[in-house]
Amino acid sequence: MQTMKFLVIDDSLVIDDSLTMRRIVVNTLRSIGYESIVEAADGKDAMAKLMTEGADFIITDWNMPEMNGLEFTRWIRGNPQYNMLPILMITTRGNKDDVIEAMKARVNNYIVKPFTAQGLKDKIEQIIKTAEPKTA
Amino acid sequence: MRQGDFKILLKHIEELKALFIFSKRTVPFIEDIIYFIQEIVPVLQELASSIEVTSEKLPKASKQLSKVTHATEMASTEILNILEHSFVKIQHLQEEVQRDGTMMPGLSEKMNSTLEGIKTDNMNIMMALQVQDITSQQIASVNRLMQAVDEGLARLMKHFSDVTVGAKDDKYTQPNLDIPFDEYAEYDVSHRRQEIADEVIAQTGKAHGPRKSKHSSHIS
Repeated sequence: MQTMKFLVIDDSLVIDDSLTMRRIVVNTLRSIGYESIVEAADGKDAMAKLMTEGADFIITDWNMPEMNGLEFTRWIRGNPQYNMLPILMITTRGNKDDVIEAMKARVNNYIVKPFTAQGLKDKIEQIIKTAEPKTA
Repeated sequence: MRQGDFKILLKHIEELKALFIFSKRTVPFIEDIIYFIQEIVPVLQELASSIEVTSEKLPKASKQLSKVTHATEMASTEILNILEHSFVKIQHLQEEVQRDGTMMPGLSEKMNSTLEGIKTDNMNIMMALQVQDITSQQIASVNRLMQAVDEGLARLMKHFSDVTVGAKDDKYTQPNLDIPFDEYAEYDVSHRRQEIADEVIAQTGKAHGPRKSKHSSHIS
């Protein structure tokens, strides 16, 4: 029997400086069954929340004050404690160069705003299928 | 007087003659330049005054734009509050319909389907509120442009007077100006830009995400 590897998402961390966007993402996540969600207003806030509350899946915006989404992604990937966390970037930046830069920073997937609930669901499913599961 | 002295005198007279001829020819040009300066000075003064007025208006316009961002944010919050209450009410109704065993055959399915339809409509309204984030970035971008124009005008005004007009830091201290923004943000529901992103992701293949670790858990 073939053994399938899946990522299990228990706690999500949603990072966006726009309260409206955070609520949209949180409500969409809840509508597709993800109930445990922590919110952060920027990269620095997210670092603190991650250290205190933890998360196993991250959704981040790019343009944010203090520490932007790209800087936060680089911090995550450079941190041995968190570098396996899957990151989905949701941003207005839709240029090819932006996507390349985000991929170089090693985000797992990328959504351009405005997105649909189905679009978010599909991207999360893609990440679940391809991301490395948590270590036991 | 010697003959050599006469020659020098004649030479000087020739030079003077040439100078007079040159002056006779250049005087009209100089007169034209004087007329031009006489005409341009009031225009420049008017321009300076206009720049001063414009420069005073730019921060006001910028503040107005920031108010628009604040207003749309408040309106979005109110709409989201209503939508969230509506989601809860629909959920309760769906649970009640499921619990109620006294309904006519097929009615509970019909009600459930209607409630699902309302939920989807609400969801679509909520997703459309992304326009608030996108327009706030567009407004921030316009604000930054206005500040740059103001700074340019301030530099230009230095040539006209010692009076400082234009960009002063305190004129642009509204919180909305400090937010990072994407100058190319647009509310494009065609998903063309998502397709471009997906193409790039497909091209970069597996060169994204965390580096594979040696350990992983398996779920059968």
